[in-house]
Amino acid sequence: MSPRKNTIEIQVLSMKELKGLSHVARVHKILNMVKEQRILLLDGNLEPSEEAELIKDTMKQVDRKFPGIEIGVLRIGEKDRTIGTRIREFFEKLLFGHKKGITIIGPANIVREIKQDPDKAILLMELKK
Amino acid sequence: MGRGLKGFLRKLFKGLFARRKELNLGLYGPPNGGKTTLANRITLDWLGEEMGKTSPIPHETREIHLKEVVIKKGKKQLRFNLVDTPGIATKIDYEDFLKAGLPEKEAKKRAREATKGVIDAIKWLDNMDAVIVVLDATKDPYTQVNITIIGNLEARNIPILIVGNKIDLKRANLKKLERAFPQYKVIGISAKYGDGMDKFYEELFKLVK
Repeated sequence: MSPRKNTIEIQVLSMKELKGLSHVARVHKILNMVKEQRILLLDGNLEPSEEAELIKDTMKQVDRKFPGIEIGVLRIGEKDRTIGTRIREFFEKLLFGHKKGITIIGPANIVREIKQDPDKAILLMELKK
Repeated sequence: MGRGLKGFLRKLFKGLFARRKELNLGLYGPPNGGKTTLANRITLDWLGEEMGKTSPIPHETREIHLKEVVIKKGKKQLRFNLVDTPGIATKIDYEDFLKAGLPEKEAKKRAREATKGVIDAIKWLDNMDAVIVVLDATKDPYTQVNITIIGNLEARNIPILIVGNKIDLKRANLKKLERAFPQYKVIGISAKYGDGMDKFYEELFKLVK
């Protein structure tokens, strides 16, 4: 179901929801949700190849109503990682198939910009009257 | 499979089956970072001619452009195909081109071609042997497009050199670029005026050795 007119829906999606899907199916699912004018918060990171696939698929679907997406990733604990943390991350990735972090993806006609640095991500949204 | 092993197998496969002697050096980055200006600077320096048209309006380069270049340093020589790629973006709004002063028909055409250009640039990643990531040193480097480009190059074990372009501008902040990508060599240039190009060519030899 698409969000109601003049509302912005933010959907928090667990990476577990995407587990078991192929890269193509994951990207397809994400893009379909974003095209329905939802802002997605994923509790993990996509693989670089999935991000590239997402950009390619987005470009194929750009039209007057859908100019594309904005994407930002907050990588938790990226800085000052110890060997222990890296080993734990390796096993987490092996078990759960994703790295720690938060991925924000939204339609570019609503999300104007996602400013990010290693410690924070700021979402700038366009609220049309 | 570990990156090291993957890289080894990739090189082995290339060596055994591809027998390719040509080296593809790609220029990648977001739109308006100065990829074509750098391509023009390189071809002007070594071939005496420009490679492509530049414009302040984003997505001027919407197709892959390729030119063979030979550069020299002392007795050493480096021959490669310079591959200028369209800027990679996650959104392309034809209204932005209207605001930049293009007529509607042209703006729509540019947007349509630009989306295809982004797809082609991503597809061409697989053909690259080394890549110069060209970033505008006056802009925020922490964008997902930059991270996605570099992440995809890393995943393919493609050697990377990051170039912070437009250092002739006061707002340029090379230190910020270095902080954003500490694992890579970052050099500052002004492709427009030729500043930093000696260092650039020096690093190019190291990149593809």
